[in-house]
Amino acid sequence: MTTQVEAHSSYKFKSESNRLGLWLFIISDSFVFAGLLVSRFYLFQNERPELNQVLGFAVTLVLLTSSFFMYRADTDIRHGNVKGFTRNILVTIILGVLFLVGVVGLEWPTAPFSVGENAMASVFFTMTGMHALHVLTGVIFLYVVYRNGKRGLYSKERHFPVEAAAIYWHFVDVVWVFFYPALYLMGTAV
Amino acid sequence: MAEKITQVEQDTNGYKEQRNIGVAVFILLVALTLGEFFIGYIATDWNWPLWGIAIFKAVLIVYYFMHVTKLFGSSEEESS
Repeated sequence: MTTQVEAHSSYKFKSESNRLGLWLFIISDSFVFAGLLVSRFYLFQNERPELNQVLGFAVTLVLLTSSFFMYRADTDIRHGNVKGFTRNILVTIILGVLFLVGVVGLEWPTAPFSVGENAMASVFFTMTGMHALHVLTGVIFLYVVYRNGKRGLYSKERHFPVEAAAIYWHFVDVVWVFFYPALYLMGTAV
Repeated sequence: MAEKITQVEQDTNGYKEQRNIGVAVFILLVALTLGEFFIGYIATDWNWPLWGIAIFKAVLIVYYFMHVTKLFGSSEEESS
């Protein structure tokens, strides 16, 4: 009985339970994005808004690169390299902010429509806005993890918050993997 | 000396190998994104190749970066 209680209170057990909960959240959140993607194709089929192609490609590369540095931060902490972890997570945060600047600061003001002008505008701003909100949440989450890492709260053995931040960040990247072609590449620009 | 021991420990646990996997996946993702960009540039109705590339990119990220296999209990390193 005591052994069972000890096993359930172990860090490994807690991490496994937390991981399962996190993935359930990821799956449920992905339905929101899937709904937005479906509405984009239902409403416009083979048409897309006339957007800045180079900017779209650039922000996609920025987000992919941030995912790469997040992977490195995750790998570093799993092998006890705390210095490498903090350095890489800081680069991830900077790239996340850069992505937000690219989408909200550059793409939105130059978009060929304003919010609520027509259905296409609504779908475009909802898709990019919802995604940007997730990126912003991720940046805040990453900053908390970065600060805790600097304070020495994570080690090779105990680092689930880092793993959770990494999974969340990569999920945000996966969403953009589908949003980028759907908004910028598929169909005829109108 | 301590730094040397840490380095050896990191190498034996596949640290370098995992970092190299990350680099390889990242290069592949960038190449696929470039491919997407050019497909979108030259053709407006090639949606299926774009869907295929997007799904492949998502699988790469979920498998290699998000470590989805950990959900099924493999590659555990946490201790109690």
